[in-house]
Amino acid sequence: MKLRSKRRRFGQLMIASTFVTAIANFPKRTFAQKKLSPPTPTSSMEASSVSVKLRVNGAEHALEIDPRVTLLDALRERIGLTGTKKGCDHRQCGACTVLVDGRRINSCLTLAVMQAGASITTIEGLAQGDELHPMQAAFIKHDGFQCGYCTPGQICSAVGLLNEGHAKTDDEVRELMSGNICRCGAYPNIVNAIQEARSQQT
Amino acid sequence: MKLFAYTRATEQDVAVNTVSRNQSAKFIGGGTKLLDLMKENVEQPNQLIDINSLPLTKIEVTRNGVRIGAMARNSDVAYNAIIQERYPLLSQALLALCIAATAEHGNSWRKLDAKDALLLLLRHSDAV
Repeated sequence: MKLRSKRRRFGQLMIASTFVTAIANFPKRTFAQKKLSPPTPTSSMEASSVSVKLRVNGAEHALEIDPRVTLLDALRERIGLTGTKKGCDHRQCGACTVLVDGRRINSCLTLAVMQAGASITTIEGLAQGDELHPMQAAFIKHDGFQCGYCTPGQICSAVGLLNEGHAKTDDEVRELMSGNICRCGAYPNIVNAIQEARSQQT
Repeated sequence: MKLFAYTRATEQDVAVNTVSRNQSAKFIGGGTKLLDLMKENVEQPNQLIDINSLPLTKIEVTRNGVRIGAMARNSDVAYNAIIQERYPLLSQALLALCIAATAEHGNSWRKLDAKDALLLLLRHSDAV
């Protein structure tokens, strides 16, 4: 009798402790990983900032930035224009393509300080209010994207391509757009969209 | 990337003197090669002299051939009428070596090895 009641007490204790432990662990389990705290700025980083005025989509932005900040990071992180994407950060994918003085460049491999005074156009600057740029409209009409990640770079690059005026045939379009890669494989539709926009230009 | 001091050159002589006096200073043109290496800490200059404002972009006919300015963009050289007419191989090589955005962005300052060889060939050949 005494042994049975001890076992019962033990069983009750086990159930209670399991229950309490489960409750206590619940808030911890809802986070997949520990939240990282942002890096604290060191004195050398603060001392190294330079003043840069960037003209983006017709608007002036005065920035105090480290000279190492790329144009891509300045556009996305400082100015808040996140339409331009960081795909590889090494000039291999073209997702970061923007237009500087009408020419297409990879914004990941130029410094923001180097583009002071230049007229920068990002994907956000192509439309006129609610009116889409012809290239944007062509991309929609021809379904020139799937996930859309490469698309801002594709469209800016295509606008630059038409400004250059060297691509005429489909093969030439493919060759001169080869700096913009699309993991979803929307290439045939991209070429069709560009050719439509090109035909509308004339 | 290691921190550097950035200046934009307005006079060629000053830019050259600065780089001559400071072993760790580098010119930056398009930046497509140098910045890539700086991101990997392969190149670690303590000073960058931006030479994009210098008037070095001309492609002009000389008595012995053609002079291509150090800051002439690859695509400008490749599509230049004189180059296409007299040195079509150079034009085709530039277009084959560079993808378009780099061609627009990069310039002759940091040359790829194949381009180096081509230009050397052109400079020393009897046809030039």
